[in-house]
Amino acid sequence: MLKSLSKKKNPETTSRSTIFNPLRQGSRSCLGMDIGQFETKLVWVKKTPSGFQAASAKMLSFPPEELVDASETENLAEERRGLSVRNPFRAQLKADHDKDNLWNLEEVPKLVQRLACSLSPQIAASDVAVNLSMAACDIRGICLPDSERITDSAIQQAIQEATGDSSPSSYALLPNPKADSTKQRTFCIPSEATLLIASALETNKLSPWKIDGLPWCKLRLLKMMNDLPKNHFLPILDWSFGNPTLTLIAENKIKYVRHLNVGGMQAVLAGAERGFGMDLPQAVRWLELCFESEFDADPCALEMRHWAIQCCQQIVAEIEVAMDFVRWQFRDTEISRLMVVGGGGALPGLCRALQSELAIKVEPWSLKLADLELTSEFAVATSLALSGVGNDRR
Amino acid sequence: MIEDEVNLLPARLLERLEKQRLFRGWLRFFGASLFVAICIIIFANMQSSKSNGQILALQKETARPKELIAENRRLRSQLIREKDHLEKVNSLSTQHSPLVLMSLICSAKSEVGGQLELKHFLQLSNENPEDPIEGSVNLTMITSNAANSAKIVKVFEDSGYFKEVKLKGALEKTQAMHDDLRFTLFCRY
Repeated sequence: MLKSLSKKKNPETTSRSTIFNPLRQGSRSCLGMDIGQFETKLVWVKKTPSGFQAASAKMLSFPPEELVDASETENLAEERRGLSVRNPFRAQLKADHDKDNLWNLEEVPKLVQRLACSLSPQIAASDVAVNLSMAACDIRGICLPDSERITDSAIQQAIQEATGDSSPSSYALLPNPKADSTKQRTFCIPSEATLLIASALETNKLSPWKIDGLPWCKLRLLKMMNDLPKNHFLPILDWSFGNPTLTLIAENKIKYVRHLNVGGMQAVLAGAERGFGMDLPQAVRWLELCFESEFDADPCALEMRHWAIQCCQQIVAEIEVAMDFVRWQFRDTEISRLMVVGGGGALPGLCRALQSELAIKVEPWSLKLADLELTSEFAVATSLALSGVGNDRR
Repeated sequence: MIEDEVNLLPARLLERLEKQRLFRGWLRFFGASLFVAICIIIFANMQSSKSNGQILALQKETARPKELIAENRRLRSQLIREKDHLEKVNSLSTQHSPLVLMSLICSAKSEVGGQLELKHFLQLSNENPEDPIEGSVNLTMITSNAANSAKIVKVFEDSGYFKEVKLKGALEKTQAMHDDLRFTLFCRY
């Protein structure tokens, strides 16, 4: 059924292969832009025939005060706790203010403008590959009509029915948990959001090239490592401000994607905000420090550790459910380690806390690229940047 | 079939962006080509003007013997002209030289038996530009009597040297007690 869909012409591939571009050859550079809920990570890579020549990484915080009203931030954590994953972009389309999330469509042009201002001319001239926070994306199961050929409009319609939103979406197909299922899992973003980002980039004299999806960014990271034995599944956890996303990869394929309902650091940080009267950056700093031995006797640190461990336990519970499902679905599989990307992986104390709760080895992602030590918060941005300079660039 | 790579930019936008990128690529390519072409033209122009200068210098160098030959020819003809002129002048000056006059005077003196004394001699050059060889001689002489003066005039006339020989003014006595006569002979040649 999906075979016929794959035959659909990809305009990008068509235009690149049929039209000769005289300047496509030679050195290439790409800016990976990972727009997160709390921070935006940028990694720039330039590749020449002799290898990677230059790379730079930068993190820009996106203060929530600029995104929502100050009066809303007080009750934000309380409201977040009881709510399931919601798409802020869709929420924005429906209502003027999205109280559930820090995301706001109207702020995207401002964010891109700020990012563009911070870039050097050489970096700004590169192609830009963007990944949006999972808060902006949806993973949906859709019911496809029982037909020989599945068209784009049929999928669009199914997504619109599933989301209850009549606006078009940019989507990509995800593997089904059950092979014989009539349902198809999709990864989708409202087209309005992708258009808005692309036009904001263009307005600020940047060249939008790609809007990627988090599971594919993780797949690329694993392909770069290329050290996974056969029948081994590698769960990659994107652990940052929002709720984590778990992607299981085997044999260079995405096998399973699950956006967790709990475990985002925002829940831990919300405790610090509410309990200690800290603002968000202070709470992040405190989360980094509370696991240090010098704060062992500090009641605030102990309280923070308690929230963090609770968060880890919630994540571990969800990871174990996902791993059990994968073990049941794919026989003779081995899962021996968990790779952590995102801001959570850059906090050693938090990783230790997660390791103490989990049976398999926890490995924060890191990479040395052209004399630049990249830590786990830059993993997705690095993957995006490398996708723009890779030999298999399409 | 699940793709290994995805691009969630809408297809139309992607197509437009790719076209823009291609356009920019070609624009840069043509810009660079134009720049290279302009550089080549400027360089070629510089080289051409340089070689033109060299050719001109070579031509000048080649043309120099011709100029020299022409100059030589011009000088030669001038020399010939000058030589002719000089010859003419020489012949004239030989014809009307004071020595000739002196020999005539000597002849006249012997004709009158030595009774002749030259008091004044004045040779005038030509004043008429249309006749370059025209000239005149005024000779003031003293002789013993009038018959001698007539003989002297005859000697000058018979010489064929002058176009015209005539007495200028009347014969006059030099002193009351002597018969010596002073007269001026005007000869035109």
